[in-house]
Amino acid sequence: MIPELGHYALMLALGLALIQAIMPIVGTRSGDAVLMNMATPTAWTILLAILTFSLSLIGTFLVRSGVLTSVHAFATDPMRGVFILAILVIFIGGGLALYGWRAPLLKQGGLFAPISREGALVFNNLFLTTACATVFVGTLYPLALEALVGAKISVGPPFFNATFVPLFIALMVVIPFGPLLGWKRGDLLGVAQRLLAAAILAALAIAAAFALEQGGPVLAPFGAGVAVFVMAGAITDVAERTQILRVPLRAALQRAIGLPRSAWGTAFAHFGLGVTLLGIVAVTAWGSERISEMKVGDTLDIAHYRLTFAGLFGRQGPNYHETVGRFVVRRMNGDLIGVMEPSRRNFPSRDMTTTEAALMTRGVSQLYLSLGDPLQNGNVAVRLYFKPQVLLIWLGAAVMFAGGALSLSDRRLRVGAPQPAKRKAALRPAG
Amino acid sequence: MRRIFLLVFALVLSAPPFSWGAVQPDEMLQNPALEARARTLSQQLRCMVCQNESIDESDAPLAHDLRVLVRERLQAGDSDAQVLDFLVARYGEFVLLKPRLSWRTAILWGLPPGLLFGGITLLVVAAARRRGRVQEPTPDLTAAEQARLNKILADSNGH
Repeated sequence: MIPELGHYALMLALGLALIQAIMPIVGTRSGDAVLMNMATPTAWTILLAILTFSLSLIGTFLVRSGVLTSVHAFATDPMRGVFILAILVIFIGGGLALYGWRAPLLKQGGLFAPISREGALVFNNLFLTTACATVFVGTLYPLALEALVGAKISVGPPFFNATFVPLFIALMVVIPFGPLLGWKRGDLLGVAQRLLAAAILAALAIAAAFALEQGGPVLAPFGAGVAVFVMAGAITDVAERTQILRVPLRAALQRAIGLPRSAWGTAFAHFGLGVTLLGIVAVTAWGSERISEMKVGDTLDIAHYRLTFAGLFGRQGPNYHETVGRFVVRRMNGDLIGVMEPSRRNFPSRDMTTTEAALMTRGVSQLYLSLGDPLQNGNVAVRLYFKPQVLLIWLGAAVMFAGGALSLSDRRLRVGAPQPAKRKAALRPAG
Repeated sequence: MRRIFLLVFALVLSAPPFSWGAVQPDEMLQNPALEARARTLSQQLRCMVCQNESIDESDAPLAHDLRVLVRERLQAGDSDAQVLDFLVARYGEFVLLKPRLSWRTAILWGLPPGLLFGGITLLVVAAARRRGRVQEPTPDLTAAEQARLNKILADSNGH
């Protein structure tokens, strides 16, 4: 799982790098100066692309050769490892050699101040690359240490929680600043002022989280605050571009329609990221779990729900027999909400038993219930989870996806799309 | 069930098929505070059988034994650090999923902040150097370039 995390960080970096690489080309085609100027960090972008591909290959090598034990290692084979190693040498060696040979020929493009949109993009890639390097080194460190000094250590999720998460939280805090900064030269103070409303909203969210949620880590409300800050920042971006509070509504609407789709894409993507973060924070910090042995009539309380065990019954499926537990879910005040029926299925042909968890969705939160082996005395062991706001994680991803689709449909990225007349006019030399 | 990691992407990929989970009701302690500590500790200890899982997630009999052992130590009044020391003394540093800071792990722990702050310093230095370069006057156009520019301007004025 951990190597995959690194892949994702790099994929994000690569996505941005690719945009940075393609935009200037599209820009030269359409004569768009802003897009052309994105060519500035090109050399670094190409290096990132090479690194991403190399690390994906290294991931394959580590897992498939059996060097690392991975959850996803279905077929490990040392021979395959040697083969992958050969591919690795060709691609990484080739890519880097080409880079070393040709990169010095790349001319540095336009200049930009450190506080600018370009600066923000570079900063962003620095964070993501650091996150990726953390995962890479964390994955390989035990191997290297064992080979060099013979000491066996483990690097697992708690290490990555302690290093990866702070990096991402810091990145989240600066995300709303990026789109508000101007190209070439940005005004950090001005941007901070424009984000004041978002910051106040975030502070209110932190206070609300402290008031509403008892328990959970002390830092959790701040995580929720960061999520709200990212969401409010995305809204601020759109509000600034449409001037919604400064010009009449009609004019603002017209400006909204006139906004480039890529601007909407940015706002959607960042908003979605905030939504997802909120879901992650809530489910990690305020989720709860009950493990219990129950007999018929017993109740089990979780969050603001009470489950009553109504009994076990058998049911025949097409190729299995299942033992179903029936649990009645009520609110604490006794109002009936529904029934959850987790089961254990036995497939006689393969003599295999599987656990079928029951799932109940309440708003954007979910209850999971799963059954253990029936015990001798007729009782059942149950495992019940309350996952608050868990659906926000998926919802946020959907919003991010919509943002990506919107920005891809931007006029400037559609090959062959006619350019608006006024832009052409502006570019024609006066005469 | 695996504890949900703080990243959605990890969640997407790592979420295993919903399984019954490892911790059994009969292992659990009556005292909820002690049990919560036991769970937290279990998540930091590597199962020696299923090496990709903590003993909190692993169904292996050894993981069961270790979970019980952790709870016994806690009930005997050990602090969290004492429990970890107890297990490290028997199984080595290998059981800790979060390696301790020592000279051996200095690079591991130092890398993320080192890379981030090193990177920021590098960027700031590069930006400062670039700014220095901007102030150098741009060389004037050569005679040939000037002639070409004049021609281009004349052509475009002709439109």
